Amino acid sequence: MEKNGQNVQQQVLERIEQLKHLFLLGQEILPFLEQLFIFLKEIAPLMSELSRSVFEGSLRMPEATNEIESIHAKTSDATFRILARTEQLLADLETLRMELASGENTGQWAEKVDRAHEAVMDIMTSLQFHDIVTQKLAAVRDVLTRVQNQLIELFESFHRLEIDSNLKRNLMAAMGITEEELQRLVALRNHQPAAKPEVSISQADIDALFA
Amino acid sequence: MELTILVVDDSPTMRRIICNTLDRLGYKNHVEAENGQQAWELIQKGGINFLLTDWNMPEMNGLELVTTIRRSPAHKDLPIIMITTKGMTEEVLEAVKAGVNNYIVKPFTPEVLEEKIKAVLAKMAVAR
Ligand SMILES: [Mg+2]
Repeated sequence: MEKNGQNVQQQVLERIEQLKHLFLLGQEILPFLEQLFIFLKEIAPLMSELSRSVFEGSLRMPEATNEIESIHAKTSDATFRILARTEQLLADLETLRMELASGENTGQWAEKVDRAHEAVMDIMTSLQFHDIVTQKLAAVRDVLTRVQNQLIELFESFHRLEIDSNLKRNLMAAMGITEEELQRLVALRNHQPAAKPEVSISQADIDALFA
Repeated sequence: MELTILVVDDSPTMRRIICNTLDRLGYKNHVEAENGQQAWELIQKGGINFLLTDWNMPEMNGLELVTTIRRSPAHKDLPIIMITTKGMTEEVLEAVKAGVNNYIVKPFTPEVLEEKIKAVLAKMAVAR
């Protein structure tokens, strides 16, 4: 009987000890839960902002992709054109050289020289792709800049959250961004002009304007 | 009157292509500038009677150059053709409003350049 009473006492003591531990743990965890609550309350609008950023970014990415594809097409076209003209030029020059060496005049010298002249002019015209590609790359850069700016804005609003700075730092670290990096990104963003999408017009329509 | 053409483009490649094409077309007198500011200084010095200008340029762009010329009592009648990669409807209309006499989208062929120069010169002759 006495042994049983001792047992109960022991159990109660253990229980009290457990509760004490729990209480201590609660003391530590309560402020964290409070912070977490504030965090969740503030992060909700940010999450919708995040999905908006990702959505708009995804909408704009095809613009950049199209420009890159057009750069590829323009570069390939020009290169192909230049190669074809160069090959033809080389062949014509070779025939000319052989005809001149053998003294045999097929009566096509003038024609071949004219063709060579034309080929060289065409090669030069094709080299305009350099300037066009530069402009297209600038357009791609604009799209990437706009997407980047939205992400920076998102990070900035995250940075403005009123949660404990340690928690914020840890979360920022989890996202792979430091305070200094954020400041650097913001400074970068403030130096970029924005661009707008437009509709294309053909040279024929342009000519009609001046007719 | 002998034509002295001012070629304005920030891309040295484009300036070379345009000048070589002009040579080929028989327009042997041409000078170059790499932005609107440089071009405007050259125009003010006198002797230029035709302008081929790009749009996208640092310092002063082509559109600002056209506006500056059209506002100047001494140079407002200078014939201007804009040669640019900007091929958007809004942009062409903006250039027309600024006062360009014609507009060529890059890449252009020697034939197109010749045709536009002749068309602008013919219109100028009629206006006189
Ligand atoms: Mg340019």
